[in-house]
Amino acid sequence: MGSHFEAEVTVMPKPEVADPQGQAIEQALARLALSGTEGVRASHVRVGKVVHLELEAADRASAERALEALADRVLANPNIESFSCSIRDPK
Amino acid sequence: MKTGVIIFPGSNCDQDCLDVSERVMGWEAIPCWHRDALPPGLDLVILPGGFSHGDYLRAGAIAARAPVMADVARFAQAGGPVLGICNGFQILCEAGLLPGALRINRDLIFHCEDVWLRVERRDTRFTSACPERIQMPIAHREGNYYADRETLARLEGQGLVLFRYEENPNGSVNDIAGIMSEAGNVCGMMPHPERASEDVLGCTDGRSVFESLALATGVGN
Repeated sequence: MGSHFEAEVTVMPKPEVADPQGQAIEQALARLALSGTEGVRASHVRVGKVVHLELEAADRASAERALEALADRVLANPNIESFSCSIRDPK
Repeated sequence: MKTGVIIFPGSNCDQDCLDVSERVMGWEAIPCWHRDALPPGLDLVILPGGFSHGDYLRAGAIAARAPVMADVARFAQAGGPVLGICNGFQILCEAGLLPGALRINRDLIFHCEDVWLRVERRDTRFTSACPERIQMPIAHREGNYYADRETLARLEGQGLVLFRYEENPNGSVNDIAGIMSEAGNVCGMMPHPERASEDVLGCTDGRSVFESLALATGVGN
């Protein structure tokens, strides 16, 4: 009987890869001048994605290994993206 | 000449590719469903344009992991010619059959327009019948080619860039519109030769890509 893990993979464009979505958002934020943001400037905006998943695995180590493999081979494209994985122990 | 056109859920240029192969080129053309094995005896595999699996996750990412792609990889490994057009190019990159990746366009806009291409190599099986400049439509939002510095140097150094935009529509590094593999038998391109292969479509420049393939295969019709 395995355990149930909640996991999250965060995928981001690599620093050396231009992120036009981030740039567009950065420009919009600068233009908006929302009340309560006076004197504050947002910069280095980057857009990525978060994939939430649940895993059934014999133990934490195998869940971590599997998550890393899924992130590296499917959820992120290592040519242009980096990723980080986090996993929560069974409740 | 026997060509297989792979159909993924969300492909939308598959019928155009089948039509050009069959009616314009006079080849035998076989539609191949993405969950099925590749039929034997093919001389060419085409990965058509479209929005396979809704472009979810990344353009081409899910299609690249479809069952048929293991057969396509074996076919390519054995030297079989593979042509990926638009989404097909994205799928080939995602599958690791071509280097690099296609990112969202520099201006975040879907570009649907005719572009002029410089044909950088005219001694390959994809381009031997092409003139120096050809015109073709593009229709994509993720056509912004990227490869890291070393990969790009290798592509340029080995003459693997086949097509370059005269005016860069999407931000691609080095104005790259199409590349081929080191072995010279896998080609990916964002512009659509199948949409420019008949007078009635307003342009026939794209036909030169299919004519090149026919010449290279030596199977004639």
